[in-house]
Amino acid sequence: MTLTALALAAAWISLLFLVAWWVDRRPGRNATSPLVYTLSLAVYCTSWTFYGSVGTAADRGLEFLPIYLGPTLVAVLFPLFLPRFIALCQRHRVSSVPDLLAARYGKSASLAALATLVAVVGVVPYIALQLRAVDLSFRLLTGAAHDSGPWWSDTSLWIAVVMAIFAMIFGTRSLQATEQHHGLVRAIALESLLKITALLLVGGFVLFSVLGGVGGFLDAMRAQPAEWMQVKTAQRGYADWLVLLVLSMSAVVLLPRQFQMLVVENDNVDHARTAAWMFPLYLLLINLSVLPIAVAGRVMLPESTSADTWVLAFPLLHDHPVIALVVFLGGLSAATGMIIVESTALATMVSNDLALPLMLRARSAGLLPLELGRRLLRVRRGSMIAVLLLGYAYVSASSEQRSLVSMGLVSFAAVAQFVPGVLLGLIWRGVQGRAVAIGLAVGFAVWAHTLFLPSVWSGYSVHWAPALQPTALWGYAGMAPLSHGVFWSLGLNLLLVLLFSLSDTREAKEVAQAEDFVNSMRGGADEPTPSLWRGGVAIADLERLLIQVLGAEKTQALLAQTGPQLQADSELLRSVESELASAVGSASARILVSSVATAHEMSQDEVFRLMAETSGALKMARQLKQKSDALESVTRELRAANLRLRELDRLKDDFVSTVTHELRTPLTSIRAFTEIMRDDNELDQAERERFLQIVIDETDRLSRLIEQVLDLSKLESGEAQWQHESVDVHEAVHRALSVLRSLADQRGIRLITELQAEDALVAGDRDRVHQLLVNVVANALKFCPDTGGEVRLRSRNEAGQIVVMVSDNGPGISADEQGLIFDRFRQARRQNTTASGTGLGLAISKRIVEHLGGRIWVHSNPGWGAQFSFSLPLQRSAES
Amino acid sequence: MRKARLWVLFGLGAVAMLPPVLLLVDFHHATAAWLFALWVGVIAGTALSVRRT
Repeated sequence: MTLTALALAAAWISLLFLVAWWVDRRPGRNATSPLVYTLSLAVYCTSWTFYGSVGTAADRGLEFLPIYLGPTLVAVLFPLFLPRFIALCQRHRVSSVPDLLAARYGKSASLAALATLVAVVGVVPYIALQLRAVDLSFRLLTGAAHDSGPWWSDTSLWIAVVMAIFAMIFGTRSLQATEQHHGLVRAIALESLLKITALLLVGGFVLFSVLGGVGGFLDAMRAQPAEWMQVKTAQRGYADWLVLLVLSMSAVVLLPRQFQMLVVENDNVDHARTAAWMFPLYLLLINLSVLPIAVAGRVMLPESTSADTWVLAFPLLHDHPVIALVVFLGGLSAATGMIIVESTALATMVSNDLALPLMLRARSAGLLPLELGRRLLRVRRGSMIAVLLLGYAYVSASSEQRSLVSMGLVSFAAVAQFVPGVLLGLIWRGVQGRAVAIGLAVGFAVWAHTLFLPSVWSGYSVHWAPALQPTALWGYAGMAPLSHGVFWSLGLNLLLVLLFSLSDTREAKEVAQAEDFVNSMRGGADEPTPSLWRGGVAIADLERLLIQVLGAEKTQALLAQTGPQLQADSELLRSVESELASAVGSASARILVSSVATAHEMSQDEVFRLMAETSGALKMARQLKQKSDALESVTRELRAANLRLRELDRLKDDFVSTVTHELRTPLTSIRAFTEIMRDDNELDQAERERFLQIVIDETDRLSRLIEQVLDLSKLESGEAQWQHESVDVHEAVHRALSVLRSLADQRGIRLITELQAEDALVAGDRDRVHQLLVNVVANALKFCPDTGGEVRLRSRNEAGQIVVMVSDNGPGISADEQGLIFDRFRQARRQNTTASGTGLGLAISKRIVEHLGGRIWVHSNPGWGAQFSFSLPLQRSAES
Repeated sequence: MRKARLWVLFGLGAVAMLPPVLLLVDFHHATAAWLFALWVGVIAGTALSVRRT
């Protein structure tokens, strides 16, 4: 088993390396997808998640959850802040959180160095956690006992060494700290896939094979004490829950590896939209296995077994070596991914913000040769080994009984010390670098005193000052150690940042940077900060400096744009400083440029004047944009109004044309028949009477048409007079039928009424409702066949309305005509009918129904008659 | 994407995970059910809010 595990581990890590190498060999074709970006963020899930979550859940129930709920909340806001944040950091060539603080607070080298110290010391327990987890899983898998022999036989040490070598191979191939490692991102995405697969596999195995399915799982859960699944118990309270939420919210952005993946390695800010839901989904899925394994362990495993090993213990106990090996690889993968990215990020910080300033001092004192580039790479590699060895030292010093999660939380509390400086610095111009440095230093000291030192030194105490006990500062012992440490360290940090920011003692460059950062995060123009250098620098000096740091090739490329002048202007100085910042961080870049510049930085007065000019220009641009937007909006409205007017004009022309045509048809007929009667004296009496009847009918039709045109015109223009009274629709139906019954009888059409509505009272105009019913019923009669014709009137109540349906057994209406039937002068071309009318009846009916707050519609299957229905709101429901 | 919708989702999600609301559901296994349901709801709400229209 030992050899198999080692061989598989080596094969898997080699595969990760091959993926990274292969991707990096294809420059220009390796942009990340949203999925790969999201999976790379899952480097958040380390051995802590893989082994430690079950450990926490077994002992403290739901306390494993806030570590993932906090990042879920932050991820919701990704689309709102991340694109701007990434653009800002990439514009300033920021490669780490200390670099961000330095860039925001006047390129302060001392603040960057302090932040680096906090990050390195703070993350040591987290690295130690990974080493401990790999060691535990390896020993469990191979059955090796904990070795108390000489130091060189300690597995943890060799794991640390091997990890350091891998980290060096992956992370320090180039000096450019802000250069994106696309290969590394792909490798981390792959390891994220393996760890989630492994954890789901073992979760499924425990759920279905060990617990006997979901039912067994629920039974086992019910058998546990109720308190186990509660947030507030005798041992812990809501404050602890809140602290874990806050810590995880800050960690998901500010942990060195998270910042590296979230910001530095991002090559498309649009990925933030996908990551906003896919990253929390990953966190949810990877945690699905935790409760089944935890409850199974509580039921079946002896209490003496460390719950941090239960994930691996189950497949081993049930003799499933393949699952056990996959789980071991998943855990190893989670630890390796974390260590590679974390140590890469930490090594960049150490080399840029601690080692380089010291090297520059040594160089100015003549103690170091000029070669900086290679030396920096060596420093980075050395830093990786140092960080891993510090992690090993922490593992060796801390108790074997200490849980994985408790080690990780100490690191989360350290990283949370960056929150005041970073968060306030992005939203408030007034925060000062000096205040952030004081807050960070005090917060770090309190963190070390209350959390770090007690975790590594079991007997740590301050006997000479009872008020300063690490678990009860100022005698207050009401909180759990973690909450207590976070409360005092973060609270004092925040308080000091606010207090020391009240009086403004900033230097010019800090004021300019504050303006730029806050403006950018508020969505202001993404303009480069104006150069704050005055005077010139000899280009030859600048070139020597660049060659030392970036190498000859990049220097030539950078200086190729400059003309034949001997002095670099302020713009060139700014771009050189920016390029140097991408390799050595913003604070060190400022030191480097200052070391060769005879130029001086602007005074505070000059900066304020420049900023006033810039902000004046920006204000004017904003006002112009607002006016331009307003003009555009008015133009759009005018265009829409013009379109409406044209449409109305066209409708009017159509209407006039149609009315003219409708009037001309009967007039032509009248004129023709009267001329015949005038000119033909021999016309017999019967024929003459028939012609006269036609003239009378046509005259009736004309007057009806004119009446209806006028009526419709009144309805459409809103000039029609409406009575407001209660109208009984059933009564109106009977009244309409009494008018039309003789017409129906003449044509032998049966009128059938089935009025079933219990409530038929509507608010409206009695004559208009009568007109509506006459129109609709007359229309039905018109299209009924002469033999066997039948018109059926029905009513019913429906959702506070009365619905009246008038159906006929005529030829029906085709589907394309149904949509037009209520338009003016539209008459369906129904076959086998000789019906004629003005074509306005249904249009008028529609206006009446709509005025009364109802709706009218038609259903018809051609050949099977048509049914016109209208609904009107009942008076009772309108009043209520 | 509606920015206001994301802020509301964040606000509701945060409030629902905080003590005043947890106090109401913190008994037996109701807390676990509440938190997992909330988790799924926040993910679904975010996915719907950020989809391209």
